[in-house]
Amino acid sequence: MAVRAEIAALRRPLRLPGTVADAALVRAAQRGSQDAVEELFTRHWRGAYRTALLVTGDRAAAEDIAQESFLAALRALPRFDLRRPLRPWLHRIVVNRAIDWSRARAHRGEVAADAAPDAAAVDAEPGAFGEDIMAALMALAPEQRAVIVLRYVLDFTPGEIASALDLPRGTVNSRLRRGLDTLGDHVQEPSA
Amino acid sequence: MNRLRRDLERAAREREDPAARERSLRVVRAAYDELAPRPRRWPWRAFLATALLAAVGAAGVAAASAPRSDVGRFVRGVLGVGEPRATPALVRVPGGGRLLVSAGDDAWIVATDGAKRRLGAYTGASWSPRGMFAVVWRGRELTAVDPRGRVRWSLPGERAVADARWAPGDGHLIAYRSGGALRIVGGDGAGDHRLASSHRAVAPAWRPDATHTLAYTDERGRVTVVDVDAAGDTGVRRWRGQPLSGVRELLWSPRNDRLLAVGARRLTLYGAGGTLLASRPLPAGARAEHAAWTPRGSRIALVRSNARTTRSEIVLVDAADDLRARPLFGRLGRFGAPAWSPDGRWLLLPWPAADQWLFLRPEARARAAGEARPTAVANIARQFAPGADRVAFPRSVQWCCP
Repeated sequence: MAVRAEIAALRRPLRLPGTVADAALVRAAQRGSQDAVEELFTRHWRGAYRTALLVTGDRAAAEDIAQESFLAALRALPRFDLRRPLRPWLHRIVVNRAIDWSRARAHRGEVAADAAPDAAAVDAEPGAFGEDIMAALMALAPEQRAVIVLRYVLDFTPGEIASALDLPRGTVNSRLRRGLDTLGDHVQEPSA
Repeated sequence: MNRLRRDLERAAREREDPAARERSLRVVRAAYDELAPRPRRWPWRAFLATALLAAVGAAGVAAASAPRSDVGRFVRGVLGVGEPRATPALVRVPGGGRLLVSAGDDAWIVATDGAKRRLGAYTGASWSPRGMFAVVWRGRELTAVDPRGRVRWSLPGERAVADARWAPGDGHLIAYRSGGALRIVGGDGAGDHRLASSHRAVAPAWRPDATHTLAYTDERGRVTVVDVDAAGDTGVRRWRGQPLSGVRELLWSPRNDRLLAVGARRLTLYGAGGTLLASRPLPAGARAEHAAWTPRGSRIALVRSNARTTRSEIVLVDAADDLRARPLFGRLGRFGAPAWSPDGRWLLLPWPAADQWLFLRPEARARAAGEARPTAVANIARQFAPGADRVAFPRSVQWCCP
C-alpha cells in the first residue's frame, strides 16, 4: 500500500504557485516530478541563456551552453544539497562553460587574439540595438565579461561572484573596475 | 549603472533566438525522463495493461517481420535515417567508463554521467593503459595530457603525427606514425626514436601484455611483429607475414594469443608466433570497415559495408570457429569504428548518417530472437561542437576504464 500511495503521489500534477521556493522544486524533482523540473527550467532558462549569450557573443554557443548546464544540473540533482541556493550554483556552471568556450574559440584562432570579435555583428540583425555595447563587451577578456554580466545582468554581489568564480573578492572588484572603465560611455546616464 | 543594466539586457533580448528555449526544454525533458528516479514496482493495473499491449504487439511484430516484409525497416531507413526514440543528448554512458572522443578539431573526454570536457584542439587521441592520461596529436606535435586537459609533455616532430598508441601494462612506451615512419617515445616524452618504416594507413598495435611487443604493417603490407625492448632502437623482429592487400586495422586479442589483420576484403588471423590460423574472405560485395575484439577475447565485432545496397551491418565473428560471422545489427549508411565497454557488455556503434551513437548489448541479443535493439543517442555531432557553425561527427571513440 505504501508503494502504491507513493506512486499515486508522484503521478499527481504538482501545483506550483509562484511562491514555491527553488529548494522545494528541487526536492520534488529529486522524487521524480517532471513538473518541478519544467518549473525550474522556466525560472532559470532566460538568465542562463542571456548570461551565456553575453559572455560568448554567440547565439548558438549560448544555447548549447545553457542547455548543457541544465543537463549537468539534472545529473547532479540526486546529490544536490538542498541547503544551497540553486541559482548561483547553476549560473556558476553556465559562466564557467561560457568562459571555457570563449577561451577555446580564441585558441582555435577563429578570432584574432588581439582583435575584438565581430560577434555582435554576426548574431544581431543589421542595425540592431546594442552593437556598440556588444562590441565593447567583446573587447574585454572572457573573465572580465563574466564578472560584468554576473554583476549587472544577474545582480550578483561581488561576494557571490567571488564565490561563483573561485576568485578573491579583490580580484572581482578590480575586474569590475577595469571592465567598467572599458565600457566607458555605457556606464554614464545620458544627460537630459 | 542603470544604463549599463538596461543596455545589456536589451542587447541580449534582441539577440536571443526565440526557438532556443523550446528546443532546450525538449532536450531537458527527454534527459529527465532518462535520469529521473522511477518507482521500483509497477502498479498492477499498469502491469496488466502492458502485458496485454505486449501480447498484441508481439502478434503485429511477427506479421511484420515475416520474410520479404522489410517495408517498415526500409521506410524508416530511407525517410528518416536513425533509430526512433533516440535520446536527444548523451546524459550517461551506458555500462559506465569514460569515452575519449576525437571530433572536428578537438578531443573530448565524456565522463560516466555524460559530462563532456574538451581536452583541447587535437586531431586524434588515445588513452593511456589505465585512463590516467591521453596521448593526443595535432599536426607535427605529439602531446600527453591528463583528463583535465593539462599538458604533461609535448614533442614537436618533423612530419605529421598520427595513430599514437600507448603500450598496455606499464605504459612506459608510446608508438606513433610520423610520415612513413613508425616511431617510439617513452611515456614520459623521453627517448623518441625511429623504429621502422610503416604503411601509412594502418595504426600500430601493442600486444595487451607488458612485453612491449608491437605489430605493424610495413610499406609492402606485410604484418610484422617486433620486440621493441630488445637490441637497441630498432627492436628485434619476431615474425613477418606474407604481403596482404588492403589491410586497414591490426588487432591483438585481449588474451595475447592471436592477431587479426582486417583487410577490406579478407580477415586474416595469426597466432602469437606468426602461425596463420585462418583466412576468410568477406561475402561478395561486402567490405570490412572496422573491427574490435570483445574484452574477453573470444569474438570480434566487425563492421562491414556493402556499396551496392549502401547498407552497413555489424556482425560478431567467432575467432574459434574459422571466423564465422553472426549478424547483430544492420542499417542504411556507414557505421564508424565500434568500441566495447570495459565490462564487455555494451558495444558503442557510431552511425554518422543518422548523427547517432548506438549502444548495443550483444549478449541480450543472443538471448532474444531478432535483431539487437540499441539504445540510441541523437545529435552527436552538435554535442561535440557547441556553438560552431559547422559540426562534424566524431571520427573516433575509445572507451576506457571507470
